[in-house]
Amino acid sequence: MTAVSELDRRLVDWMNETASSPPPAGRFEQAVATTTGRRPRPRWLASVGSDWVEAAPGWRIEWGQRRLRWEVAVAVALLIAAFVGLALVAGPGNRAPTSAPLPAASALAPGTQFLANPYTDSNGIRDCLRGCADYTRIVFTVPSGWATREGLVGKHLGQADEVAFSAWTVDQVYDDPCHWRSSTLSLLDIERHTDGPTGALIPAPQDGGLANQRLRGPLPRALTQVTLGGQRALRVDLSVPNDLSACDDGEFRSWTEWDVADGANAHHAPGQLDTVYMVDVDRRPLVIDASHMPATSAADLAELDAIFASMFIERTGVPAPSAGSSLSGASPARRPGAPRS
Amino acid sequence: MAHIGQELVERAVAGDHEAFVSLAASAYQRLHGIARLILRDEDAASDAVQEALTSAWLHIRAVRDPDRFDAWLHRLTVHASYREAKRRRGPVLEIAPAQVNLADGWDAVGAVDTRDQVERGFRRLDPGQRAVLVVHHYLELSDAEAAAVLGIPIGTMKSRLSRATSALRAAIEADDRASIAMTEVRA
Repeated sequence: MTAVSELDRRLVDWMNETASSPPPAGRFEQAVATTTGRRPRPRWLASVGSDWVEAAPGWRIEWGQRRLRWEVAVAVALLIAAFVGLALVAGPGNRAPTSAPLPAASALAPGTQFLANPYTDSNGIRDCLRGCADYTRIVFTVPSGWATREGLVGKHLGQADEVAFSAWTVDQVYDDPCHWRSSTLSLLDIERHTDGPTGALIPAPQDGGLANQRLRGPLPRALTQVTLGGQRALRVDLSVPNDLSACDDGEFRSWTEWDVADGANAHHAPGQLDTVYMVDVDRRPLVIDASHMPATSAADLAELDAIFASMFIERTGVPAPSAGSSLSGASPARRPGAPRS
Repeated sequence: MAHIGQELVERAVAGDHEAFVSLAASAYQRLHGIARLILRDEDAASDAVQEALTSAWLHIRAVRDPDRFDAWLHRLTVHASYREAKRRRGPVLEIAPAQVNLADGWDAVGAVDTRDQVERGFRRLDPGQRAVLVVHHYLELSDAEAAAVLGIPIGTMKSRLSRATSALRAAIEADDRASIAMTEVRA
């Protein structure tokens, strides 16, 4: 018998023994009680956040996708109807929004906008199956000329002088973002830097994480404790190589998300410069990635600074200050991707 | 899944809460075992399974194939365990030791040593490493099924399994070396 199979056998025996102990009395009843009196979500909404495990056969997938398209179409129609209804009910005299949700893709009007937590349903209930960072909205003020597309908020999107930022719910970090298919994974830095009893952030050298990610600029790479949007955060400055042709699928991927198989972050362009903020939202991480290109103008970087200075991360029960008041807790302007030491 | 199980799933999908409770009751011990192994904490395991079952009921109408219902519950439990592990950073409660049946005629002392050694090694793994070992060894799922439950590609699942196994082996070997050193010091 090989050492591996002997270890497997010991492990299986131990697992079966450990798992066979009866669960604590009363907990099953307690679990069932949380479902009693609650109605399942309607079919058209149930798939959202369900984490359903799909079977492999092709025709079923096609059928499922067709149905999902119908479900999405119905959901979009209902959302539009709800927005129109709200607008009619509110009337011009009652409108007092200080910020607007981001559209899927378009130019943004100058003023206060917000990125809503995508893992919160219409009742404000957070879907912790997918995203546990306990924020409701990321509120910020943009000047003219900014736009949004595919979750990115930026200027000159897709061009050589792009400047942008985006929010992520990160699961793990690729140690080698170029050869991400075979890369080992490690925890996001902030996961290892939170002191258990006190919750204090401890930016110290560590293994893995963005601080040690390969091909992301000189090492050692400093983690800096900052405040962003009223929350504590760790900041790290990173870069992307100029040639990604040898990378898996020609893509450079930083991290995986809980609900996205095969990794998520593939927004990196060759030569891109990132400043990544790992924000501690009630001790759960939210990643905000500010990026720009070497050709980005100083004026556009100054606008990005101003946006980050205006940023406020709303948590449940802690709404953003109203427009016009000072955003206490917001960080001083820091240039994302500023020259590294 | 047996016919009666399929029927229960179909009734639950139709909104029959009693049918859902029957399904939950038959799965509870197994789900709790999964969460207990990943979390190594009785209370946290109970919370994780409760979250998984609540989510299952709220999303029950997402079930498209009764044969995948168990795999879905496993996935919800594994993911709920990840989140519970994040919520409860810090010291965990001890699991009550399982009973050793002396009547089986095995080396009880040796078995306890082995079990404790595996237990200590397993504790040194992070929840993600524990989860991949649990779905592979405890649930005895195929690579494809294990990857589906974990929500990751098969290749990633295999590499995580390999790393987790290596990490466990290293932890146990380190434990062995420490025991030998302690014995020599006492001698």
